[in-house]
Amino acid sequence: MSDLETDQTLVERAQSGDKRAFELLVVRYQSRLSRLLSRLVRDPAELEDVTQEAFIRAYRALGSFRGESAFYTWLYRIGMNTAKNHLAASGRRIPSTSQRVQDEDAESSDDARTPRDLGTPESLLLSREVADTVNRAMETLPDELRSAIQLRELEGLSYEEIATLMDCPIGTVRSRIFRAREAIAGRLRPLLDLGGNRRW
Amino acid sequence: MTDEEQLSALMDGEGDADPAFVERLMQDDALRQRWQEQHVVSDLLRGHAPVPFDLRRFQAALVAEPVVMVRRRPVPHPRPFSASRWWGGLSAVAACAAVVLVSSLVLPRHGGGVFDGASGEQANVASTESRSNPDRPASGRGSSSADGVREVPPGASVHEYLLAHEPVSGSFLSRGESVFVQPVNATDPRQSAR
Repeated sequence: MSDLETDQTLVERAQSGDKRAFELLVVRYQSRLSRLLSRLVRDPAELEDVTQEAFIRAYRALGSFRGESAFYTWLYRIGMNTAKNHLAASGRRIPSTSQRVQDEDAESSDDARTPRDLGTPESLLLSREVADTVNRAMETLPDELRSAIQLRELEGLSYEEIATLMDCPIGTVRSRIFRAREAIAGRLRPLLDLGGNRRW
Repeated sequence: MTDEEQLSALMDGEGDADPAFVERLMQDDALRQRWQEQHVVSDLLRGHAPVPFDLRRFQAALVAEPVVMVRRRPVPHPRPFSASRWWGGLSAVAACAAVVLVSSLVLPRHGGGVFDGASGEQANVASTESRSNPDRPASGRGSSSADGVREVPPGASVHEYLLAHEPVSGSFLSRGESVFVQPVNATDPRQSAR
């Protein structure tokens, strides 16, 4: 099952009336969409409002999604329109054509994933603290877990490629990647309030 | 696959996710929590700074939304093989073939008899007579009428009746070419003259 198929499975469930399936899609793309929209909406509080509004609009329009494009591409368009409407409604300037072209290019490129500080000292501090925690957590991982997660997240290899490189079954790769993320998440919980009243 | 492996595979788009697992993922709060955490960690490992997003607030807003229900067009599934349906279809084809066969044998004959003009029928009679009895004169056993049917003298046999009506018969079998053969004298007239 590819990313597209995972999305399609969840979209079909959501279209069948299961709101929880849509929540899983929100979790999946919230960070990516927020980063993208932060190009238009600089204020963190506004950015969160716009992102939430974009997801609600996407849910309302879910009936019109036919799967002819990737879910994220469709979501991206809704997000951009929501952000532009928000700026227009508040009488602010929408970025120029050249900037919009760059934004639209970013939809399908890695540039959309570029780390982006949200401008406040608090967010900068938190970002630094999170990065340090992640690095420390990586250092304490057993070798096989660290190698598996690095090959996946940093090198972008598929599970099959990782299994070949690490000379182990693909099921072992799945398990190692899960356990590595789980271990890092354990370190991050106090910082990001993962599992509690999570805001991240 | 274990739940751990399934969750990893699903979020990374790797391998086949069991639909039953997807169902549990939506219902099981602990699994959903893991789904969230794994995505957050994945984002961070790729160098993406955390972005504030109040999931509970979104969930509350989503609850207030009317449920989306998309009616899907049913996908036609190929019907399984059915012996009775197969035999039914075969018998229908056989019946059609039989009708076509009988029609091809009978109808052209009828068509010729009906639509041939009088001259054509006359020619047909003449040729039949010459084949049946080349030595017999056309008026030897009864004369031909204007419509090509020879008059049959009273007391004639069935054979002669059929031969006389051969031109207007649509049936191949009743034309008498093979069945109703006019008997001829095999004796050479020159020898009998001696």
